[in-house]
Parts: sequence; C-alpha cells; structure tokens
Amino acid sequence: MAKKKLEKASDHYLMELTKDGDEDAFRIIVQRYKDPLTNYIYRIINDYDTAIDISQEVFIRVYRKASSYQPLAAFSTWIYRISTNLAINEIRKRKKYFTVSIFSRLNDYENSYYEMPYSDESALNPEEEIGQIQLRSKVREVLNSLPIKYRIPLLLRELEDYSYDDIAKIVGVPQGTIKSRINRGRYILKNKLKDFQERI
Amino acid sequence: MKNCRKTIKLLSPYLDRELDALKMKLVDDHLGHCRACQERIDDMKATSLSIRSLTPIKTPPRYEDVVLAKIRLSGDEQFVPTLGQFFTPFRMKVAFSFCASLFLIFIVSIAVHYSPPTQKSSTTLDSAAVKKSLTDDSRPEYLLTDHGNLVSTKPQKMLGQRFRQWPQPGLNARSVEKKLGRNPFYLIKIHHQLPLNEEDILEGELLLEDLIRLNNHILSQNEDGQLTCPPCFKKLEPMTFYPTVKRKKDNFKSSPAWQQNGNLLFTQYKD
Repeated sequence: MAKKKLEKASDHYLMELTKDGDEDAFRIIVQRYKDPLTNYIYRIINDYDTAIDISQEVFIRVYRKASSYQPLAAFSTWIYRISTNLAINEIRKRKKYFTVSIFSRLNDYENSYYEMPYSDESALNPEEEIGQIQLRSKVREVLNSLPIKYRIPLLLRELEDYSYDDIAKIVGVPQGTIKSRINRGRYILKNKLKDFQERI
Repeated sequence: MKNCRKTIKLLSPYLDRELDALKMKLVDDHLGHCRACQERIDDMKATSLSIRSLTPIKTPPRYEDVVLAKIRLSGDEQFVPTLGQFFTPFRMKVAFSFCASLFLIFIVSIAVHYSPPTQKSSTTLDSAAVKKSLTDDSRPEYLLTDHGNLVSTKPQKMLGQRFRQWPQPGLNARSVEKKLGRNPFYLIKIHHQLPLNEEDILEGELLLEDLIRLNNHILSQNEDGQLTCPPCFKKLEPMTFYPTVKRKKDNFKSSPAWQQNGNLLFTQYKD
C-alpha cells in the first residue's frame, strides 16, 4: 500500500497490518503517537531521557502485543493506558531508588533544542517575554509538585483533550473519581499560580 | 442555581463541557449574575491555558528507527517481565503481609502447643481433711480417701449425653491412658457421694498413683502425701464421663442410685 494511504488509515487498520508484519504500518503508528506520548510521559516523570526510553518501551510493547490486539476500544486509549502504567512504575522505582539523569540536568530541553516557538512570543517585548518564561517555569514546577493522582487526569484533559470517560478508562478508576480529581487538581494549581502571578 | 457551593463543584466539568444540557444551562445562568463564580471560572480558564501553553516536547530525530531496531534486537518473543518488573511494590507488600501472617499463625500455634498448663498456685487436700469433712455439711468437693482414692463428697451434678454413650465399666489406668492419649488437658475426678468401701472398689478402678501419673501436669503429690491441684480446677465444667464401677448395663442406665454412688469420672479440662 502506498505510504500516503497508510498515513490516512485508522489506528485499528494499521494495527491489523502490523499483526501481519507490515513494518511501514507500525512506523506510521509510531510517527503518529511519538510526540504526544513522549510529551505526556515527560510531564508525568519530568525527565526527558527517561520519557524517551519509556515511550519507546510503550511502542515495543504495542508491537509485541499486536497479535492479541482487539479493536474493542480506541487504540489511543489503550496506548495511553500502557504509557500511564509504565510512567507510574517509573515513579515508584524512583521513590525507591532515587535516580537523576545527568543529561537532563545539563540540558533544559524545553528552552533549548527541542523547544517549539511560542506563538505570541515574537510580538512580546523582552520584559513580557521573561515574564512568560518565568510563568511557564512556574507552571512546570507547580505541575510537578501536584500529586500523581491529580496530575495524570489533568494532563490527559489539558494536553490530550481526552473526555472524562476516556480518562477513566486510561487511569482505570470510575468517571466520578476522575471528575473530582481534575477539579481538585485545577483548584490546587489555581491557588499556587495565583500567588505567583500576584507576586510578579 | 443560586447556591455558589453547588456551582463550584460543577465549574470544572462545565469548563470541560462534561455536563448535561440542563446543568450547563444552570451554571450559565448562575455565572450570569454571580461575579465571584465568574472570577473562579476565569481563574480556571487561565490555569488551563497556562498548562496548554507549556512547550510540547519533541522526540529526537530517527526515533522510529531506534524503536524498530530495538524490536529487531529483542526478537519476536513474547514479553516476559524481569524479576524487578514482576515484583512491583504492591505485589511485594501483598506477599510480605501474607508471609508475615503465616509466620504469626505458626508462632502462635507453636506457643499454644508447647505452653505448660498454669500451675501458679495450688490448693491442698489431705486425708485428715477428708475424715473431718465427711461429717461436715459443707464438705469440700474432692477428697482423698483412706484407700488412696480421690473422691467427690457432693452429688454428681452433671451426667451428660456422653455418659450414656459410654457405659463402660472396669476401665483401668492403661485403657484410660490409651483413650486420653497424652493430652494433659484431661483431669480425672472420682465422683462419689459416699465414702468408698471395699465393695465399691471394684476391679479396674484407678488408684491415686494412676491419677497422678495420668495428670502429671495438673495433679501432684507433695512430700506430705497431699494431693494438690491448681485453683482453676473448680472453674472447669465436666464434659466427658467414663464410669468405671462394675455394674450391670441395665442398672447402669436406669438406676438413679448409680449416679450417687461410686463412679469414676474423667473431666475434660478446658482452656
């Protein structure tokens, strides 16, 4: 099949092809999900190198489980569920054995090589630009300080635009719990950011 | 909807468009006239926007090639978790709790099995007391006769079902020992309304030495020949009865006089 057709194919169809050993189909899946998945995992564990490793591990698992894949639910829900579980495992491991990536300390990925240009920043004056950078840094800090049970549903909602129902499936808790966790997470973030914004 | 407290809970799902049409309209109406809630939803929108404005992380070049190379290198075998992946903290906790409970049960059962019966203090019975008490209305319950037997001076109060199932006269020390095994939690009592005489002591009746031997954890004889037993003795209820006086089976069952005459009884000792 032509590459262009593959790029437009659904996830389920691509997985069917992957089952039959079509490497190109799997490559399309990886291309489709590599950035959002890595971004999502990075926001959970706050370590770029580990986020890359985990996202690769997710794709390896998807490939290996392709033969037993059943298109009962959305593919994205499934792949995010795997990512969430692996990220939580990594956090537990880190709690047990404190690990720090020396490379992520040396490089601030978000403000250097991998940074996407912020759309309105070109129109800002230098002071406003510094204010924006400080705010984003604070948001990152506050987000990282948020308990994991609030952080994951909030990230899935804000970064990936998942519905509460999908988030409940990904995290594996009832929808009502997700609703209250997102509400609570937003409330904590709002209070912490409000203090910061008032100070600057 | 006039109540702010009710609305606050709905603000987050309202922002995410996760409410049904009716609730959406109620929140809309409330926000229309409540400045405080309007500020709250604005703050929430700003928070949401600040998260969304975070710079998206991008993967390094040739990411797909690395993934496919890793798949090829690792082969096509099914995923088998390593020991570290298998023993997650949760599983470790469950396994540890299970092992701890098993260990605790083991220790408790060992302690119960090997713990000696309580013998902190003892009460004393002797022959002189027997003779004296036989004429006394307030006679003690267990006495030592001149024949060297432990007797009861009070009417037998309890003859349970077990007694009727065991009309076995003539038990001797060996057969009793065989029945009871080596369980120290059996105490032997001889119930007797009247003092024993030669006619009442029939073949197979247990003598004091036998009683002591069978109950070496419970009854003991001191240097003065006094029979001692722990104070908890009287608190225990008799449960099992083994009559030993040689009588005819019919009489044995029917005659109430039997219950008041010579019977050798075994009492199960309860914790």
